[in-house]
Amino acid sequence: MQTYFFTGKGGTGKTTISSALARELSGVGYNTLLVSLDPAHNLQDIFELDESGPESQITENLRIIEPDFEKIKTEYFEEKVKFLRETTSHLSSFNIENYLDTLKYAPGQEEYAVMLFLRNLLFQRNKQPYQFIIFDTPPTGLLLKILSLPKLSLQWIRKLVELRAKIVDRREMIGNIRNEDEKTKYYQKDQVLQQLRQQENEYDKLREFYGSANFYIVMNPDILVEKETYRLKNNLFELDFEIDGIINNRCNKSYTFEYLNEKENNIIRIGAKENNGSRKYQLDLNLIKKLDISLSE
Amino acid sequence: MNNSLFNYLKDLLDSFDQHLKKGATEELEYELEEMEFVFALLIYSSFIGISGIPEGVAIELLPYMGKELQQFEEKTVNSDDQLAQLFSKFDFE
Repeated sequence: MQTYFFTGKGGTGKTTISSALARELSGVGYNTLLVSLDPAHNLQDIFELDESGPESQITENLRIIEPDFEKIKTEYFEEKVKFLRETTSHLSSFNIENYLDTLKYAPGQEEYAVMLFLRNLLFQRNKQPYQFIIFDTPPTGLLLKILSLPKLSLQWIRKLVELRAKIVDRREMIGNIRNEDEKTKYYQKDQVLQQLRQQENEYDKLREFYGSANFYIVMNPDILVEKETYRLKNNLFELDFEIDGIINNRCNKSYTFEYLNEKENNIIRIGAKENNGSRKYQLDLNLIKKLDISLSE
Repeated sequence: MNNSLFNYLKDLLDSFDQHLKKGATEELEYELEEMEFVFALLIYSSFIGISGIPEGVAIELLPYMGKELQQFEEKTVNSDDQLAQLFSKFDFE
């Protein structure tokens, strides 16, 4: 399975490029999934569909998903509140249910909703039937938050695992001195430690998935867009992501780069005539060749 | 008669044993309690206005943190008498 992420400043043509690539790949017989991670998605418009729910089968080989992140968030919190109600009813004085209700609207939940969606898509479906998964991503800011979430969470989780292991050690020590009757298996019994390790495993897998993906930034021939592309490239590098190329969309040959080095950055030009904007998903941009996608699978 | 004397002595020694073990673990327990409190504080620091941990990690742990949350509540109730708590731990009269 190969994965492609198209990112960049808003309005540069990420959705057009990802839709055109998905159409090309499915057109030559590869089972392709196109996913929009942008909460303000518009794949339905590009594929000229009526409001038909979050998933649509476009052709035999092409499926699109526009997740409803609000719904994912709500369902997740409802499930947690239900579980809490069953397990910790004695803690009602904390008003935890109301706290969770408020959390739905807290900042930082958008990227968590995306993470929940990806976790479900990648790890819980039995077998991934797709040869290509293409992600149309939200504009720069939110994407960086989405991509940094596994790294940030793992840093926290590893420190918490260390501290929790010390706590379990102390419990075991006290239990041994007191010769507690039951043969207590402290490590297996500590659900917090188990839960932390499960989260560590999931975030590790997610990082691995991001690490194996191909990242392209879509830009336009404009000095401000180029500057943001340059910054995004560096930000991604700080998060351990290497860019596979930069697509200069709707580009005239006369454009000269000021911040990006053309030779170092694998810049792929798509001319303004090629991408004429009409019937976007039917555009033939010859992206398989331009992005040098290996079809050997 | 001998049997009941034996049982009496056994119970007496057992209670000594229990008392000594309790004394030996008291400080460990105090340390453990503090560590559990720090752990809960790290995870639910947003309760007291310090934001740090990604919310997702905290929410996933919430259902298993009943004991720590109860400790939170107890600490809050007794927060105006910290000195007395500390003295009681060290057996000051």
